[in-house]
Amino acid sequence: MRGQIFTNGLIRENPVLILMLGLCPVLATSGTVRDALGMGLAASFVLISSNIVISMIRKVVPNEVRIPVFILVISTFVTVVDYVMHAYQPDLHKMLGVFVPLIVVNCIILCRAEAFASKNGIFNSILDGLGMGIGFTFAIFTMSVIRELLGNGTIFGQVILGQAFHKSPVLFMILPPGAFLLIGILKGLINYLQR
Amino acid sequence: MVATLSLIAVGSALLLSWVYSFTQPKIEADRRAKLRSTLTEALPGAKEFIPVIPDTVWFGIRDNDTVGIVFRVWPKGYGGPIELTVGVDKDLKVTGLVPGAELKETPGLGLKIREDWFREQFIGRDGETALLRQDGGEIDAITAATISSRAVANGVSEGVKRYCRYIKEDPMIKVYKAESFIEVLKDTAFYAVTGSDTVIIITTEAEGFGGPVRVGMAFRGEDLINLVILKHNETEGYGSKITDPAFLKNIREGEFEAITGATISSKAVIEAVKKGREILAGIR
Repeated sequence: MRGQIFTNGLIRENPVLILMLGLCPVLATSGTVRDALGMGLAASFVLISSNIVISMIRKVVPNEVRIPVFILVISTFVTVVDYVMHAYQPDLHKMLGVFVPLIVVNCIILCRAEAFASKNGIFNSILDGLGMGIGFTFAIFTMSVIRELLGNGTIFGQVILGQAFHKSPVLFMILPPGAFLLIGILKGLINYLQR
Repeated sequence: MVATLSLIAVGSALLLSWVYSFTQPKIEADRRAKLRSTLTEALPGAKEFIPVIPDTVWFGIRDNDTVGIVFRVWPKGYGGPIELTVGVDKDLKVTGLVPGAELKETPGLGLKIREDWFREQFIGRDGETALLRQDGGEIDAITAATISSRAVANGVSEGVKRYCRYIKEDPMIKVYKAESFIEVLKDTAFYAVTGSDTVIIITTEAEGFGGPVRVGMAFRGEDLINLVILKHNETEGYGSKITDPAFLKNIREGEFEAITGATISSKAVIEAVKKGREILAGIR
C-alpha cells in the first residue's frame, strides 16, 4: 500500500505525462537540463514541504478556509525557495526568472494538498510528495535532455553531438514550439504503450 | 476560523523573516559583486566606480582621476528590452560592451549578441561608427538577427552620444569627491552625497578675456567649500593665473583682489561665482 503511494506519482499517475498537470513550467523551463533540474527540485521541495505541513494541520483547519490556508502554506515555501535560490544559485535563479514564484500556482502542488495531504497522515503525505516530485522532475528532465541535445547539441552545456551539430542544431527544439511538439510526441508514445 | 488563518499567517511570516535574514545579505553582496565585475568588464581601466545617475551612469576612477564612464541603456530588441552596460573612455571610444543576463532574444539568433566576436566589434568605436554597416557604421550584423544587432548598435551609439557630456567635462569629481551624484539641474547642479553628508556642486560660466571661463563650486550649506576653474582660455601668464590656489582661496573667503594684469579674467571668476550663488538660492 505504502509502496504504491510512492510509485503512483512516478508512472501510473505521473503528474505531467499522465495527468497533464503543471504543463506551464514543464514547457517553459525544459530548454536546458540545468534549468529543468532546478525547476524540478524546487517544485519537489515545495511539494514535499507543503504536503508535510498541510497534513500536520489538516485537523485544525476549518473546511471553509482550507484553500486559503493551502495557498498560504505553499506560497510561504515558494518564497523560501525563491530566497534561497537567489542567494545560493543566482545564475539559475536568473534563468528561471518568473517561473520560480509561479510554482505557487503549479496545480500539481495544490492538487496534492487538496486530494492527498489534507486527508492522510504525515508519513504517507511525504511518500506522496516524494513520488509526485520525482515524477514531475523525471518528466521535465526527460523533456530537457531531448530539447537541449537536439536544440543545442549539448547536455549540461557540454557538447555531446560534435562541434558541427552544436554550430547548427535543430534550433526549433529549444524554442517554445519544440516544447509543445515534444510533449505531444511523448504523450502519444505513452498512450501507444499503454494500449 | 479567522484565528486559525491568522495563526498560520503569523507562522509563515516568522519562517520567512528567518530565511530572509540570512539570505538577503548574501543576495545583496552577490548583486554588488556582480555589478562590480560587469562595470570592470565594460571599463577595464577603472579601479573604482562612482554612480552619477543611480543604476544608469557611473564614473570610472583610477588614481583620483576619471578614466571614463560606464552607462546602461535598454534598447528595444526583438523580444523585449536588451540591457547593455557600456564603458566609454575619455576619447569617447567604447571600451567594452556587456549584455545583461536576462535577455529575451531568440536563442541561436538574437541571443548571439552575447558572443565575443560581436561584442568586441564595438571596442574602439565611437557614437558615429558604432552602427551597423547598412546604417553607415562599422559593425557587422549577426546573420538573420538584424533587429537584435541593430538594437544593440543603436543603443550603444545613442548612449555614447547621450552620456558623453559626463566625460567631456567631469566637473563633479574635480570639484568634490563623493560616493554618488544626483543631477538636480541638467548639466549645472548636482547633489554630491557621501553617507549623510550632502554637498551641492554647481558649474557656471562667465565670459573672460579669451572666451568662457567655466567654474565648478561645491557648497555645503551656504559655505563655498571648494572652487575650481574647470576650463578657460585666458592668456598664458596673465589671465591663466586665475587657477592659482591663493586667488581662488581669497574668492572663496569673500575677498576680491584682482590679479594684476588680468582684471577681466578675475572678474569672470567673480561673475561665475555670483551666478553659482544665484543658482544655489534657486535650488533652496
